[in-house]
Amino acid sequence: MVVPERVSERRLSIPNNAITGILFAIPGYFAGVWLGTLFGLNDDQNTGVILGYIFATVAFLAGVGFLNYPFERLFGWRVSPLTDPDENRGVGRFFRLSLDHKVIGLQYLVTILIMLLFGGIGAMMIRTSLLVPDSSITPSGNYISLIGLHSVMMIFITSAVIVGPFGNYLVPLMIGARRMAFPRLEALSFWVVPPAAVILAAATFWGGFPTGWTGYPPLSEQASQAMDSYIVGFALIAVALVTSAINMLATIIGLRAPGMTWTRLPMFVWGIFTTSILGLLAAPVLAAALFMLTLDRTTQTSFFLASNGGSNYLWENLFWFFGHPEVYIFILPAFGIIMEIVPHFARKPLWGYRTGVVGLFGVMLLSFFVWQHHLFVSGIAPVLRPFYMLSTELISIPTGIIFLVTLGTLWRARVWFTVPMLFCMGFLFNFLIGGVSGVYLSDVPTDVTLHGSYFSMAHFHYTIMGGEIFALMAAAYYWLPKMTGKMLSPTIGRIHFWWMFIAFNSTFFPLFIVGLLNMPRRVSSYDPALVGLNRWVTISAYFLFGSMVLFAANLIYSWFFVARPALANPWHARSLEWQVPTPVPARNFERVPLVVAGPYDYGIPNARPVADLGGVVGATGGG
Amino acid sequence: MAVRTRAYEADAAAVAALDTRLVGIGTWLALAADIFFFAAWWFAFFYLRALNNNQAWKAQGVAPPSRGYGAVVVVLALATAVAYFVGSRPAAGAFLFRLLTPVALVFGLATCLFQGYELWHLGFGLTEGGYPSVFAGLSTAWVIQFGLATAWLASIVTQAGPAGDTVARRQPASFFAWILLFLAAIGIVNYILLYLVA
Amino acid sequence: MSWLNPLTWPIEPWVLLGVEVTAILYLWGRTNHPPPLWGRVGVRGWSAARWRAIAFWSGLGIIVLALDTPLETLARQLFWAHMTQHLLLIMVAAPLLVVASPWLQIWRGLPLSVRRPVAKAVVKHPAFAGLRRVFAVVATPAAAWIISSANLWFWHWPAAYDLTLRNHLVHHIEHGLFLGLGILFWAQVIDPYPFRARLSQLKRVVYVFTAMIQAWALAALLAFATVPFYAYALLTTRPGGISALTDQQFGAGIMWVPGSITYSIVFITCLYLWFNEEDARARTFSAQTAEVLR
Repeated sequence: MVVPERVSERRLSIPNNAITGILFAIPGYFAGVWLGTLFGLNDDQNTGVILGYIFATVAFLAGVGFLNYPFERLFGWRVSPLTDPDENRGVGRFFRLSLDHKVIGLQYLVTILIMLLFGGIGAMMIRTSLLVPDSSITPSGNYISLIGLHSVMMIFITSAVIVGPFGNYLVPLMIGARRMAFPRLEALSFWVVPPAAVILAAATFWGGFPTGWTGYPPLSEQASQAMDSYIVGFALIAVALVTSAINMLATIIGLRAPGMTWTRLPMFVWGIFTTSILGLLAAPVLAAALFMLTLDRTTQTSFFLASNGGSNYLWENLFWFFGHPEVYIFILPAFGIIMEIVPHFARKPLWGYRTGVVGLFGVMLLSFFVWQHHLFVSGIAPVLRPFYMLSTELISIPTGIIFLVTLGTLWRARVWFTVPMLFCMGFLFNFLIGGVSGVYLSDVPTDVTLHGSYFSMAHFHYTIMGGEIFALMAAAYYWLPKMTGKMLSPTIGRIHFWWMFIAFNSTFFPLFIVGLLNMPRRVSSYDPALVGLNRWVTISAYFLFGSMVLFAANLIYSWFFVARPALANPWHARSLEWQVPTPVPARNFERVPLVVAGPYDYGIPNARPVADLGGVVGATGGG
Repeated sequence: MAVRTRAYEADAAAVAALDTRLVGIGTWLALAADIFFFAAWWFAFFYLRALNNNQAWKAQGVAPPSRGYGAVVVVLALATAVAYFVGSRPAAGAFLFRLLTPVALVFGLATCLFQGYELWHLGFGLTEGGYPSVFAGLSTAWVIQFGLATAWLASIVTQAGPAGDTVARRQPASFFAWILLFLAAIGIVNYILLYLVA
Repeated sequence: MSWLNPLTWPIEPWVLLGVEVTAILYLWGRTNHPPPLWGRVGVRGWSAARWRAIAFWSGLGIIVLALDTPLETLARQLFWAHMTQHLLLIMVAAPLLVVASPWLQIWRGLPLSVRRPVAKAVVKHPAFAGLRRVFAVVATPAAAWIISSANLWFWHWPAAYDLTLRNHLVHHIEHGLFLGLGILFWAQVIDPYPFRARLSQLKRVVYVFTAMIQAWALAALLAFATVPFYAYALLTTRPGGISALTDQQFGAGIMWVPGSITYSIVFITCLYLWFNEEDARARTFSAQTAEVLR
C-alpha cells in the first residue's frame, strides 16, 4: 500500500444545497429500484422500493454535501475545515449544508413546523371521518391509512420538535460554547429529517399502511409497499436520534465554559441531556427491529412469523423497548423547558435544583423498565404483569418531583404572566391530567378494559400535545426573540394561548369519557349513541387547528409585517443565552465566558452576575 | 470537569486537547449505542431459540456453517483491531503507525470479503426457520458496520501523509482502535452464539 | 412450622453461629472502641454511630430473616421464594452492612493478643504475599464488578443451582458468596468507613447503572424462558398449585423490578453526592475568579 507523501490541496465540492440534493435524489431513487429488481426476489418489489428510498436519501445527502468530507479523506485530499467565515451570510445559508448550530436550529424549526401542518391536516381528516358513526365519509381501509400517516408523522415531529430547533440553537449558548462538538453530525441529524418526511408522505402513493405507528407483524409483513415508507422513514429518524444524542452529550460534557459546573447548568440543558441518553440507547434497538422487518419483507426470513420459527412477540418486545423511552424523549425536553422558564418569570431561584435534576434522571432510568405495560393484553406471562405495573406506577414519583420543583418555585412568587408563562401554566394543568390518566392505565385490571380504547388515546394526547406541544409554544414565545431577532406579538399570543388551551381541553377531555364508554381506537365506525360527543370533539378539533393557524399567523405577522426588533434580553433573564447580542454573532461569544454564578439566582442579595463576558454588549447580570 | 481559569486565552495546544477529549467522549457514546443495537439481536437469538415456535428454530437439515470458516473471519477481525491498536498507541512511533495501519486495512478488507462470501454461500436458505434468519441478519449487520469501519481505516491510511488529517490529529485517530476492538469483540460474541450455542 | 412460632423455624446452625459470633464481637468491640471515633455528624440529630448501629443490626436481622425463617423452607419448594432469599442477601443485607461498616468494631472485639499477631502476619509476612496480591486485584472496582456479576450468573446455571438444592454445604457456600461478594460490590459505591471507595461519585453512577443492566439481562433470560430450567420442575406440586414455569417467571419478575430498587437508590444518592462535589468546585472557582477579576 503506497502512502502518499503529500496531501493534495484538491477539495471535493459537490454543490451543497437542498436543490442539488433533490436533483441527486431523484435518479438515486430509480437506481435503487433498478438494483432491487436485479436481486430477483419474490417480494412484491419491496426490495426495490426500500433500496430506492435508501439510495434516494444517500444521494440527497450527497447532493447537500455530506459526502465531501468522507471522500476528501478517502482520496487523500485536504479536508475542509469546520468553520467557514462566509457561512453566516444571506438567506441561502438556510438551504445549504451549514455547520453553524444556529442555522441548523432554524432549519429544524421551519421544517418541523411544516411537518406539523401536514400532521395536523391528517388529524382534521380523521376527526372529519368521525362526524358520522359509520364509514361513509372515509372507507375503513383509507381510515386506517390516515391514522397511520397522522400518527407516524406526529411521532417523527414530536421526537425532534424541541431538541431539534431549540436544543441545537440554545445548548451551546447556554453552556458558554462557541460551537457544538460534532457540527457535521449535528447537520446530519437535521438533514435526514426532510427525506424521512417525504418518504413517509410517499406512502400515500402506495395506499398507506395499515398498522398505525406500532408496525406489528404479521400485518406489517403482509402490507403493501407503503410499509416500506414506514420502515425507511423510521430508520432515518432513529439515525437522527442517535447522531443528535452523541452530539448533544459530547457538547454538554466537553464544551462547557470555565465555571459552568454541572450544578450551574440550566434545567433546559439537563432536559436535553437526559433525553439524549434515552435516544442514544433506545433508538439502536428500533434500528435493529426495523432491519429485521426489512429482511422479513424482502428476503422472506422469519423473524416475526410464528409459523416458521419466528415470533410476533419479538417485534413487540423490541419495538416497545424503544417505544417507551421514545415517549420520554418527547416529554423530558418539555420538563426541561418548564423548569427553565418558570424561575425566570417567577423571579425566584429554582426551588430544589438538585431534586429537579434527580427527577429527570429518575424518569430516564425508570423509562427503561416499564415497556411491558404496552403488552399487558398481548399475551405476556400474566404473572409478570404486576412487576411492570409497579415500575410504571413508580415512574410517577420522579414526575411528581418535577411538578413539586416547579410549584415550589411558584410558591410565594410575584409571577410575571408573559405568554411563555401562560403556556407553562397550561402545561402543568394538561400534563397533570395526562399523567394521572397514565397511572390509571398502568394498573393491569383497568388496562385490560381500557387498552385500545379512546381512554389511552386521550392519555397520550394530553401528555404529548397538552404537554410537549404546550411546552413548545412556551419555548417559541420565550426564545424566538433571540433566535429570529423579532418579538412575537404578545396580544395575539394571549389570544392564541386561551384559544388553544380551551379548544385542546374541549377536544380531548371528552375522549376520556368516550373511551370509558368503550369506543375503540383506529376504527372509523362506532356506537351511534356516541355521535353527540364525537361531533363535539370534532368541532373543538377544528377550533384547535384554528389556534395553530393563529400561531402561524402570529409568526408571519410578527416576522414579516411588524418586524419589530427584539431587545437582546427582553425578559431580563440571567441565563447565558440572553447575555449575547441579538442577532447572535457567528461565534456566539466574543470571548469564552467565565461563569461565576448560577442562572436562577434572582432576588439574592449580592448575587454575582452570571458570567464575566469581557465587557461585551448585553452582558447584563439580571436579578 | 477541571475548571480552567485561563481558557479565554485560546492556544493551539488547548484546542487540540479539547478536540481529542471530544472525540474520546464521542467514541464511548457511539459504542454505548452500538452495544444496545447488538443486544437487540442477541435478545432475538435467545428469544426465538427458546420459543422454537412450530419446532422451526432450525428446519430439518439446517446446521451452522463451518465453524472453522467462522473462526477465520473472527480471527481476521481481531487481527485488524490488534494491528491498528498496536500501531496507533501514542507510544508507538510514526514508523510503526505507518506500517501497521495499512496491514490492519488489509486484514479488514479480508474480513469483509470472507464474511461476505460466507453469507453469499450459506448452506441453508433464509426461509428455513428462525436460526437462519438471525444468522443472516446479525452477520449482515455486523459486516456492514465492519465494512464502514474498514472504509474509515482506509481514509486514515490515505490521510497519513505529513500534512494529512491523520498526522495532525494523531491522538483522536487512536480512539478508532477502540471501535475496531469493539467490533472484533462483538464478532467473537456472535461467533459463540451463532456457531457454538446455535 | 409456623412464622409465629420461632421454635419451629428451620434454624441453620452455621448461619446462626456466624450471626451470633459477629454480633458478640461487635458488642465487645463497642466497649473497646469508644463512639467518638466514628466522627461525622449524622442525620436528624442522631449521630452517625447510631445510624450505623441500626444498619448493622438490620443487616444481621435480614440475614436471619432470609436464611433462618420459614422462608428457607419455602425456598426449597418455590423458585421465587429462593430468589427472594438471594435478593434479601445481596440487595438488602449486603448494602446495609456496608453502610454499617462494622469491620473496625468487630475487629476490635477480638482480644489484642489475637489481633496483633494476625494483623502483623497478614500485612507483613511473606507467606501471605500471594494473598495480598490477589486481594489488591480483587478489590479494584472493575474486578469487583466482574467477579460479583460472574458469581451471580454462575449460580443461576442450572447444573450449579440444582447442586445447591442437593448439597447443603454447597448451598451454604452459595449464600456466603452472595453475601460476601455483595459486600465487595457495594463497598465500591458506598464508602466503607473508615476507607473510601475508590471511584468518584460520577463513576459510581455509571458503575451501578451497568451492574443493573446485567442483572436485568439475567432476569430477562429467566422471564422469557418457555421451559423451567431447574430441578424444581421435578417437584409435582408447589405451594399455591402454580406450575414450575409460572414460578420461574414470577421469580424473574422479582429479580427484575424489586431487585432494581437498591441499584436505583444508590444511583440517585451518588448523583446527589456528585452535585455536592460540583457545588464545592463551583464555589472555589467563583472565589478564584473573583480574586483574579478584582
